[in-house]
Amino acid sequence: MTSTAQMEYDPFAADFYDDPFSVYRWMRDAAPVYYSERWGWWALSRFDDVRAAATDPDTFRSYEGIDIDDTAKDQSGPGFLPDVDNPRHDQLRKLVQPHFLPRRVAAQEGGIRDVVRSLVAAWPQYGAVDLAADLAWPLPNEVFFDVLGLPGAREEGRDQLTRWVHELKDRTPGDPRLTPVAKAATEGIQRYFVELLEERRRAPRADLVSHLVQADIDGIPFADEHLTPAAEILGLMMVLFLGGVESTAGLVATLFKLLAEHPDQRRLLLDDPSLVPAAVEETVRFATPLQLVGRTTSREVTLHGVTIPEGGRVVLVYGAANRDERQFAGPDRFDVTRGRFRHLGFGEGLHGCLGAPLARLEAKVAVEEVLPLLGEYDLAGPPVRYRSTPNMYVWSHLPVSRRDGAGS
Amino acid sequence: MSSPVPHTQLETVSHAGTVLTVVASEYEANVVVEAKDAVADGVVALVLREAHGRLLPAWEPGAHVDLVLEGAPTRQYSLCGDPADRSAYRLGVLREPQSRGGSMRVHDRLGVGDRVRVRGPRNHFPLAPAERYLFVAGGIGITPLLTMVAAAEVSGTPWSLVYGGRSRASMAFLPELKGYGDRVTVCPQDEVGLLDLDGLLADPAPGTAVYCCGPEPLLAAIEQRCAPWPSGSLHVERFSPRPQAENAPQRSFVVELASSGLSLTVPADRSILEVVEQAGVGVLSSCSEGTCGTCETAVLEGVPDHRDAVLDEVERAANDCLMICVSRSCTDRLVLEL
Repeated sequence: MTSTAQMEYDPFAADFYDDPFSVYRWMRDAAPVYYSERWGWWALSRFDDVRAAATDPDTFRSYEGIDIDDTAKDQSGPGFLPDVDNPRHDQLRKLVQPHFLPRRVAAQEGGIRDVVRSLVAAWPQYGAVDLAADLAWPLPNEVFFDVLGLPGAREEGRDQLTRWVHELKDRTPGDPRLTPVAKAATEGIQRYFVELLEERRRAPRADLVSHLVQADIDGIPFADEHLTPAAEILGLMMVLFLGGVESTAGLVATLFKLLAEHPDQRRLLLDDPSLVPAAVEETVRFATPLQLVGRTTSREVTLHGVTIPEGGRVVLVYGAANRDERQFAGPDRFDVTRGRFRHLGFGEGLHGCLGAPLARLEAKVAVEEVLPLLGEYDLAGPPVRYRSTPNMYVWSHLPVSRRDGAGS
Repeated sequence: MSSPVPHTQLETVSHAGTVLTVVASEYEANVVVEAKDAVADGVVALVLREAHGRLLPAWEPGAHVDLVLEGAPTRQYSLCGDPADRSAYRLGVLREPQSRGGSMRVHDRLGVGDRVRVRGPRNHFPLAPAERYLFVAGGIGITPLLTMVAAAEVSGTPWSLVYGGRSRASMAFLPELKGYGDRVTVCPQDEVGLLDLDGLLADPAPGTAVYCCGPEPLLAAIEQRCAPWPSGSLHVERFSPRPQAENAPQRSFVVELASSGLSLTVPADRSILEVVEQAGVGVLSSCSEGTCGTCETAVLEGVPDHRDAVLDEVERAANDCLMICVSRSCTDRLVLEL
């Protein structure tokens, strides 16, 4: 018999992500519409429920934000795409969608491969290597900064940007507010973006920033003549900046962590690299980098006997839905042979992940390039979780040791 | 439960020659159906009042609201009452059996005393000042123009309205238009044939603003006839941004999945994606509306009927792939690499 003891789901708790999955199981079984007394929101955890909510944006609105912290929305002003409802959402998304179509993203594979190879070339010749700090983070930094049109690795301003990436997500455990560090970074980066956009308006390049600053929506210029941090284009820049790096870094590090913990699955990949795309999908399912998103109901919703009032804050726990035994056979088994299947690791519908094709490609290339070099590696110490918002399940350090003769 | 819930909306505001984008709260509230009257064959007029008797937001001719019905797609309807009366909204709703269900729900299930939600109003079809107006209505497209002719009348601007429909019985609001005398030309198709657009629009008339609302073929014909007119003369209202995707015929066909060895029938009312997923074949997909490109699937045989917003003309013409969430088949059989 499973225990029916009451558990608490508190993603703000400092130790919650030490073992979120047992709480998720309890929620799915005993409290599928969980109410948090502490935070005043409801949480959905079963696959069907989460999917139904994600694909019903009329009922489950986004205007109060995808993040369940940053309640003042300091980082997500107008134009922050995940927080925008229709009709404006589709107009904004149309501006950026062409840059993230799978068929266009695929053209970047060669460039991504070069980035991975140059990162690996900089590793020490012997001893442990930190696959989070020395691969998973710099890879999407490099790739995504290039897509956006931000300074390259050796250009001026790059170090400051890389610092901001981390400072933006600075949080104090148990506190749903931005820290002073995160606020300062937010202001710094907004000022930086204003300058960058003005510069690209004067001298456009073939990058996304130039495209955005010159775009119009139904004949109305998207970027205001005088840009301020409250401008819609700043919100859009911010979400691209926040969304393009951390979740992909999380995906890449998690994949190598899971392969270290499941040598049998790693053997399958070493023997048959054609399984790599399936391993990427399985990683997104098994240990979803974006564990949850927030929504707000536009009407009263009754589900499993619980009534959520109109205007109720609802947390869609993708990380729990992706482990639902009602949807997946052996959900707690990491299995790279599941093939292609539906999961909610990239969300779905209106707000489905814009950058998913790029994240998939970066993770695939990283494994294809690095796994044969590492061979049967071991964890060289406990992985360190990245200090971030409660939405994220990401690693900052993943030390691994290379066995003798690896890759030879 | 029924208090208006504002949600963030971005509006473009023109002030003293400057265009600003502002964050505004869009109105949304429960309203009660106060009256539902058949005003023509297949057309009902709804009168909606705020559930607690509060005033509704002000609007101007050409504005529309979203009508949010549980379990049916949200649809837009033009306001066709008196803008000065903020105690109620009036909408005209045509029964559209081919549509996705919103209008059928209104006709068959919605009754006096029922609650629905409205969102808006918004105006993408505002009446701009002009020397003269020519209004052209086709069928239910009369609704936004009804308030425009009233506004033109009040402002003393010369105007005329040409109103076409299948038959007199199918044309809504004729009694209300009677008072305008010969400024209104009523053209039931079964009596006088199609609207004489060539006669109406043959000579470009600088200073005349043309406002047209009606079915897609009428809008397309007007756009063509107005091409020689001074730019900015023509104003049209379209409710469906992708008319081709919404109105294109749906028919059933067979997909053969080469890798899985399955042969599946895709019924007229379901997508390839739904049918393939139900058969247990894994595919990646995301938006389900043909915009994100995730579900791109290679075509090995057959000709796809492209309905996505992803592929350009060259890519479409290659016919070597399709987005299975919205696209269908021109041929009876389509072989896919799945």
